[in-house]
Amino acid sequence: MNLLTYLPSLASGIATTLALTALSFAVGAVIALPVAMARSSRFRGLRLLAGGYIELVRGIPPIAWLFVLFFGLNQFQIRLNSFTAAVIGLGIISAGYIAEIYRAGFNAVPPGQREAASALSLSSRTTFGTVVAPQALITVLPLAIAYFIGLLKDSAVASVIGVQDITTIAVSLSKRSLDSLTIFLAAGAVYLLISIPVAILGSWIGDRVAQKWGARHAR
Amino acid sequence: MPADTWVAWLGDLMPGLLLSLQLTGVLLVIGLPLGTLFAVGLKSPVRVIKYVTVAVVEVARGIPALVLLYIVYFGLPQVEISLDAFLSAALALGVSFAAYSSAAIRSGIDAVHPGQREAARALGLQRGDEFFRVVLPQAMKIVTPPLLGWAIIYFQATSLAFAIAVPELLSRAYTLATQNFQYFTILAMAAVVYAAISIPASLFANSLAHRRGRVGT
Repeated sequence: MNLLTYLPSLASGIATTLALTALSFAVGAVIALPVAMARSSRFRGLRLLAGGYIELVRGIPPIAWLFVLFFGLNQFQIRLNSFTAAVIGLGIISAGYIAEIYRAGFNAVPPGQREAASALSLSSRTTFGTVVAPQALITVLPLAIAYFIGLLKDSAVASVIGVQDITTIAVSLSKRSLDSLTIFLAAGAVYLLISIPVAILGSWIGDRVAQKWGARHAR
Repeated sequence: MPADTWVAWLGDLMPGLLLSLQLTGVLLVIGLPLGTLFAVGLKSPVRVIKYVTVAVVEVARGIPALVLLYIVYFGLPQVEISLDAFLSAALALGVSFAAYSSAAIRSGIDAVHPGQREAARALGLQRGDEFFRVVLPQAMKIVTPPLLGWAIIYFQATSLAFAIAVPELLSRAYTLATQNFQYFTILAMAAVVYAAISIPASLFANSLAHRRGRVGT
């Protein structure tokens, strides 16, 4: 039993897994902005709408989202390829989680900062761009990186609709061999191995940001 | 689309839902004791036990649950351990549940007031009794809300068992959809069924956590 035998073949799925994760995360990070803003809006209707979206995203399993998008939309003659369906599906889901991360970030900025900015009569755009957002980023980054690593693993569900990721390649390898245990253990090892550099890179970026913005805005 | 067709489809999905709930039950029966064991291992004063537990937990969390499922279902028969699809799913998801919930259980154990242990020792209870009859019951009460949260997540994760042909809710919906070609209607219906159980359950878990918070237990 040698895990290394299968690493080269599995490696061809790494690019797909990483691309899927990064694109879904990017889609989610963008959609999350209006969701997070609606969630802390003055208007009750908007708050409820955003809250409902977040609950729905949490209440339905990812694989069910992918099925609805990939198989379900066929009913209306809309055919998405499996990768696009997976990016949209995982993007919709991550938007809900990332919106909550943004909210945690903004809540972590002490209200005194906003008050000070308004006492200095900064415009609301300057207040957001130079006072609130940089401080929120210090809270947001570590949470976002942890979510990204979680998403990397969750992206394995895309194999069920045929995205050629690490898991799909492991499944097709195992069908042509009697060595399934080694193949799937190797696939698991690949996920672990790519999570580690992402985590290291993430904490490095987090430290840099904390150094750059944290010192200047020290309380 | 006539409403009675929808009701009939919903009825067809119910055996699948029942199986999803059964799978959730069995995975919890495996996962809760294992998670408690991991939690105790993480707190062990014996270094070897502690580091081995940390490694097992990190590996189980670092591998996608779907891959764990494949390791158990397709991999273990290679070493002469053959489980049927349902048990494979329960074991893989149970181990994954245990790994994720162990941190919550550990902080629950830490949250039990140290005076409770001291009192148990003063009464001359043995270490086993001290842990199982004094500390653990109180810890479990503290961790009920987060564990309920994990249970809801794993109820949804039972949909992964589709991949190894367990006829749970999503599999039934898929089969039904291929027979009627109403893919969107039926798959969305299954999604709504998951939400109809998960959302009220998580609202309940939240209210439980808040109530606890106020009483201060």
